[in-house]
Amino acid sequence: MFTGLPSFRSVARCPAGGLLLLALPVAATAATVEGTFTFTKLTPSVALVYLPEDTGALPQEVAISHKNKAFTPRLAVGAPGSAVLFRNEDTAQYNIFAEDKELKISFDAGISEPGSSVEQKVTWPEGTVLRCGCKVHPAMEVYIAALRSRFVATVEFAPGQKTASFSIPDVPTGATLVRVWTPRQPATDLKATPSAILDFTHKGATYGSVAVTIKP
Amino acid sequence: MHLRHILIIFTLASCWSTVSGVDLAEARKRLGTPDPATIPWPDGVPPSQALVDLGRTLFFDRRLSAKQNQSCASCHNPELGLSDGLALGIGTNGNRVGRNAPHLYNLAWSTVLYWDGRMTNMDEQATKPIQSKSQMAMDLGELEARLRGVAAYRTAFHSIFGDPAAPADGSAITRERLGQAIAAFERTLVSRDSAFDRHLAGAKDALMPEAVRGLDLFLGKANCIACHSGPNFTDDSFHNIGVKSADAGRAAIVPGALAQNAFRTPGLRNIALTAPYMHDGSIPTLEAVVRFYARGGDAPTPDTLVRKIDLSEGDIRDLIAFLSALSDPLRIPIPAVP
Ligand code: HEC
Ligand code: HEC
Repeated sequence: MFTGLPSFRSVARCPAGGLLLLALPVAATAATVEGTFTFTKLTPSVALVYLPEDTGALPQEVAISHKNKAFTPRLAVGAPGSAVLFRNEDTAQYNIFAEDKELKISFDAGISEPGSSVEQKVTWPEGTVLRCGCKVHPAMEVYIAALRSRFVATVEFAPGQKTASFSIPDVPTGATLVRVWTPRQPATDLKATPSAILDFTHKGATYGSVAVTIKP
Repeated sequence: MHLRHILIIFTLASCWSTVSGVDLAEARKRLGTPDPATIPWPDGVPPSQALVDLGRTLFFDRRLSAKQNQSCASCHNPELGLSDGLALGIGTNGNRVGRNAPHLYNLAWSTVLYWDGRMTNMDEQATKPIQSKSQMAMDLGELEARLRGVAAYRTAFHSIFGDPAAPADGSAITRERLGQAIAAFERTLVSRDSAFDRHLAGAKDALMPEAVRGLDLFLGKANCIACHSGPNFTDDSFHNIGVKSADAGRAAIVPGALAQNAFRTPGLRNIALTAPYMHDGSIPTLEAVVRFYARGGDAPTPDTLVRKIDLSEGDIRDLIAFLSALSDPLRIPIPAVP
């Protein structure tokens, strides 16, 4: 946990839009996490990169809209306790749900008429990601990560896209631990000192990688 | 000269005109010709020709059924639009199956399989009909043994999957690879050269005027495009369109009000070849399908996309002409089964 890091100092982007009061030493400066995903095939739909040691994010409202059989965004982040608001911005009906035995989440929003909204609290454990879908539009999916970290980058890949860059600004100097998650494999930790590379493999063959650097 | 220009402008303008407030030119973009380069292959790359050929042979092999009296092609017959012409097909034991056999065209893009979408992975799906008691009723272990007794299969599986240094003793024959091979073949069943595709490509005389009017109805007043969209004429989604039936459909997989009696929107390519229609084969002809939609279905549905459509007799004929212009029966070479 970052609480153990004496040099923790951040002018954090506060995703909650609320006020963050942090006991921060004055002298430290901020660093930036930068990185690039590259895939030769089997590009995932989304990817998540964050500093798992931070715990500063507060519950907030997370807005997810759906239209034309797709969610926007397709990867959302909210601290445990956040309220996720699914908004039907289409003229069609939807039936949003999640069913995850491992995370013990089962919710069914029923028929969502055009223009209506339904709310779901982030009740799954910190550090886990829930996949939500629609009962009648099976290709739709949105991943919602329960994270207390304020230092997060979400990446969404378009069909056919092979590479994507991301950056997380204003991270505490001295941070090295970076966690990477994609739907296809479990979250993996990297020590970026200052750089690290993670390969993605399928049936023993590498199909992509992510390179991460922390710049002072 | 001037008059001609005006006429041309007038004609163009009427092409782009709207029917019941629908921008037809815009709506057309929601259809298209499928591009095989966009197929999401399970390994990210197309399979080898050898694997596809093996899959084709297995698809036509009656050894896959308990009584060795039917192959996949018995119910997904290339001469019958990869279906069987029956409302409800007949299994290896002479019994009726529970649902209409769907065609298998352009499934490579499909994110869900079966009328209720209970499977998503075609490699895994391919061995289900073999084990299904009402279909081929065959034990997979027994089938592996049966196929290992056939020299041509020992060689084919070995050369595709086996260790080159090891002997072709049949150990390379497994149920997973069987599924992989059949699915590889199924993904090659891509129909993309119908009169409609030639029309999209700019061939002026590809579509009869009836079919062009039918296309406009499909996109406009009849609003078929609301569900039958994309290059394969399906939204890969589930709808209760009001077919009278006791089948819970999607709701048996994920219970929910919108999922009740809802079925996967079938793709419409080669639809003129695949009668009878619907999950239970209860509608015998395309004419009857169009009349079914015109009267707003036969059973109540919460789906607001289903409603009465005011179609004239001419409109009905035109819609059928358009649906028939989606035919491009593939020439599937019937393999010599070893
Ligand atoms: C006895 C007839 C019969 C046989 C034999 C049969 N099928 Fe089917 N098939 C069906 C029926 C009926 C369905 C629809 C079942 C449902 O949706 O519940 C179906 C569905 C499918 C689907 C899903 C299609 C879609 O649009 O979702 C595929 C793929 C398929 N079968 C492949 C095969 C393969 C491969 C074999 C051989 C191993 C095979 N079938 C053998 C009757 C048959
Ligand atoms: C609300 C979505 C929706 C709309 C709108 C819609 N369809 Fe369908 N269509 C479906 C579904 C779902 C099925 C399968 C229903 C079942 O089996 O119970 C289907 C089945 C069909 C079939 C039979 C396919 C087969 O393989 O058995 C045809 C043909 C068809 N539709 C044509 C049309 C036409 C023409 C229109 C416009 C007049 C239209 N559809 C409008 C969703 C829709």
